[in-house]
Amino acid sequence: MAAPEETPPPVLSLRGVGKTYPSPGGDVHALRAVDLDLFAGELVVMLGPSGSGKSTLLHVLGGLDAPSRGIVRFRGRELSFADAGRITAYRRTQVGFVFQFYHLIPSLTARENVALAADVAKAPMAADEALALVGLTPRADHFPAQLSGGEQQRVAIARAIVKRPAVLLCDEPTGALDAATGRTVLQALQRIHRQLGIVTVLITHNAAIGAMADRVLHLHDGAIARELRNTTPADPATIGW
Amino acid sequence: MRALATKLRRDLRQGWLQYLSIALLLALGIALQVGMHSTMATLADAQARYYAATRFADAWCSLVRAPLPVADRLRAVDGVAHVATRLVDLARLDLPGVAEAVQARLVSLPQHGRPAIDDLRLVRGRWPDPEHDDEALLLDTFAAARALALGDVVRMIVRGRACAVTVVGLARSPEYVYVAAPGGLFPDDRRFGVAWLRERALAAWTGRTGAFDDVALRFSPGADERAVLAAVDTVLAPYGGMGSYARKDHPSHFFVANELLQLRTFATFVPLAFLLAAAFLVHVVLGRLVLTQRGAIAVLKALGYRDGEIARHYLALAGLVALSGAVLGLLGGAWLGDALTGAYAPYYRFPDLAWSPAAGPTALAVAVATAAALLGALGPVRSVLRLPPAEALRPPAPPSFRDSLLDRSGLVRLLPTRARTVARELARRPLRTGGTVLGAAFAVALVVFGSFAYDAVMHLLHVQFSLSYRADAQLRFVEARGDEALGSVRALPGVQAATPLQAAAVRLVAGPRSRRTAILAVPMGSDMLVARDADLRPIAVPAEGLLLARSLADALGVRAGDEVRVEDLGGARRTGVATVARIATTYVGASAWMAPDALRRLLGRPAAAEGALLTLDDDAARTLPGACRDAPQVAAVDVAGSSLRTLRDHVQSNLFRSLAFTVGFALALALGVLFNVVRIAVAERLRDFATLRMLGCRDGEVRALLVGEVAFTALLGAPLGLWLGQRSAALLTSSRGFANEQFRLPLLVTPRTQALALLALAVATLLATWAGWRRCRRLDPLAVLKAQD
Repeated sequence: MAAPEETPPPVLSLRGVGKTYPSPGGDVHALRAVDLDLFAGELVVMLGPSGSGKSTLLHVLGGLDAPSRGIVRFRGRELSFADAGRITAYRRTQVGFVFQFYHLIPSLTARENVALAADVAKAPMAADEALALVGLTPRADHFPAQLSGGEQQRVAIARAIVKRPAVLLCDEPTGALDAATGRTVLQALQRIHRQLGIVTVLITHNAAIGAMADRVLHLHDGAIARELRNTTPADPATIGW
Repeated sequence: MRALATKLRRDLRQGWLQYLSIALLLALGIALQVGMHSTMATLADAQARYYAATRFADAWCSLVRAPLPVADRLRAVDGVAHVATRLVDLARLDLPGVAEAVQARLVSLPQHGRPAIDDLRLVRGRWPDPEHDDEALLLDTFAAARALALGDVVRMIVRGRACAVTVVGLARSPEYVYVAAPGGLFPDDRRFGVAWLRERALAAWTGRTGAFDDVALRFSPGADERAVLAAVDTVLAPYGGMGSYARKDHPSHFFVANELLQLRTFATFVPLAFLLAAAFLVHVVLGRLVLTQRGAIAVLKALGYRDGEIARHYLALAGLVALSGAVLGLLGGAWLGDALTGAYAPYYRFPDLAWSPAAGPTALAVAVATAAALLGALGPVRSVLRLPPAEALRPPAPPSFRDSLLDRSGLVRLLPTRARTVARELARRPLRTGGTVLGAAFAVALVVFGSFAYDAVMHLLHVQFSLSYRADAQLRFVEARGDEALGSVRALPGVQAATPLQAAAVRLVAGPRSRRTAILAVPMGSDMLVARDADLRPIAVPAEGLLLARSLADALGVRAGDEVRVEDLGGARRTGVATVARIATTYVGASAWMAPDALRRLLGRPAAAEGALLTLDDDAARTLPGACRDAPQVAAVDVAGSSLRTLRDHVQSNLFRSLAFTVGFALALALGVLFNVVRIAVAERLRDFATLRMLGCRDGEVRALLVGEVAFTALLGAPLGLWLGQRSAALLTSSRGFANEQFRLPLLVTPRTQALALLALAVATLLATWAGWRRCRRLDPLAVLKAQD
């Protein structure tokens, strides 16, 4: 009898996580008792319509927003959202973010935007190395206004990975891009994910993108409605939408 | 943090105009504070050093004549430490090629050595040789004004006798820091000077050998001033003592001290108000600027930057703006202080008057400016930092417009739809709207304040010289003369009419209060000296009783109908009781008037003219001084036209410069505020403007909204500013430096002043709007809406 395969401990683990926003018309439940484990080397795509709770879940995973209830553990240790210093340290060292609208600092060049994250990391890679990973070496000295949308998003990816994070969180990274540019960005993401072996979570409206994931989570009304595993993740170049 | 430092540098470079305008606003506040306070400190310090170095007297007394040994009795008075006797007289100078009347006060020096009290500061040349009676020192500013040099011979008439002195030195004296001719308001170096001669020479000229007619005293430490003065008066009464007076009543010291007090009043209130206004505005404007960086702050948080690191970044931005403001302000303050000191130098005549910085006010100005900038940035940074980064990353929720007072009042429904956005925008941000309104108001108030001073002084001159003192010229006789002297005066060429002038030096006493002054004996019905009531209507000199200037009546605490005791300090030194018949409005001097007969009955003085007031033909103003040169009984001639011209020139040049300064400052303040508000409004409402354009509004219609917002704030600020200006002017005119016994500035804010203030605001509004207008012209609605979706 073969020895049972030992499951590695999850990098991030959520138990009973909920998030409620008060509003004049009554409380809005953005997340309802979510249980989730994310493992090293995993690329997870979260799908769901607007208001399904994807972004809120991503923000909680990245320490950008505190859950109203439940527990979030990073490498087995509970994240204390009440302690601003510790949650900042978590973001500073372990999490890389990629936003739909890039959020680059317009007064800094591509290299300087990446250096902005490297400056506060413990053992970052060189800004140029991160830019090389996203294929932007020739554009390193350009300001955001001189870059196309796809290039700006790749700078944002370089900025997210320069600190060698344990978790890379991408919020609709192709949402503002056309299909061809979007595919380039997804290729860059997949390449980096494989090279660095980090947990990568990507949220999107676009169901086709799920093809590149190891796991696809469908969110609905603040809960994980369905979970699919994918043993042969597709090359983003082959994804069409 | 190198990347963050780069961001800071680039942000500053990109928004340099806006940051510079904030820095300039702070710089103006700091410059005013530093400039005015340092000038005040420099002057006060120079005054103290000068007084100490020259052993400036504590008290003085003029008298008719006393033998020199009487000085020993003064030395024996308890509280008197030093006594210096001297001779003082008035001379009419006869300068070659000078037609106008020039007078000099002659003051004796000890026969050997230098004065023990009221020493002089020799500027050039040497002291008069005791062996040469014809050598004299001249007041250096007078010598400069008349181009008199060492070695020049000056001819003069002293007590009807022609004399001549050779100028061997130029000097300054603490007694003549402020040199105005008798009856004059401002220094007039061309027409009045001081000359110092050795005692023997002056005694010989005036027939006072072995005697003195003036004395200066220094008190012992802890002396009782009132008791000393009373004892001195007792000693000197038999010798025609005119009543001793302490330093605070010394004419030169009084004017210098009052000028310093006025400067202190200005230096305390004006820069502080400006600095606080600038600080408040910087606080608001910088705060708004930080809020526009909400997205960047959120990204920095998401990247793992600590709150402290982010706060430091924005505080560095504010700090650099404050630092630039401080540096510019300190440089500007040093320049202003140096310029002000230079402008005051000709009037104060302190030796070694060189501007030096004042540490305290400088530190205060820099601290207030820096704190304003830092706190201005810190508040909004903290409010963004408090948000969870996820929330800060989202665009701010649409602002709530439901609770505005404007909507609840229903007023907004009266406005067209597009104008409602302006009204609601203003109502929704009461702090910012208030700040802008206040900024505009401060600018208006500043102009009102500056222009009011100009109007008030011109009005004062008009009342004093056109309504009250209506004579064309004034003569002073060598000695008091009877009515027959008037005949020869009337016979002078060009003289139309002459009125005898008699001034009795008296002390007026009402209960515990008393004042030294002169009662002018004015013939009833005289149209040369006309007292005025509060509404400037002429008041006839009463047949009986005293007519008192308002300031004198207030000082004595009396009203019409009250009685005062009148102690004659000259003549037979009688004491009488007179009723206060009327109170007159005056702005300069603390005078009292009586009908000649009433004065004679009260004090037993014979009707004797010490001089005469004249009305002249058109040409006589020029020829009279020449004609009087041959009349030895005339000690001095003062032609009103020339003294008034000097005065007007003096006032106009000084006040006009300060008015130009004020208007400049006000424009800068208004521009700084409005320009920043427009910039921020454009940045914040670009999306609204783009939407309106997409909905089909014309370019001009969209820009009209921006103009409307600024114009509306300016409109609210204007009346508030006029009111604030009026209040500041009222505050100034009730302060001690501007409302005392000798000088009272009328509270007069003319429609012209108000119009000037509104014009300044209108110019600033137009310029600021034009800047916003230009920015809107470059608006690409599609790009704006896409960028923010």
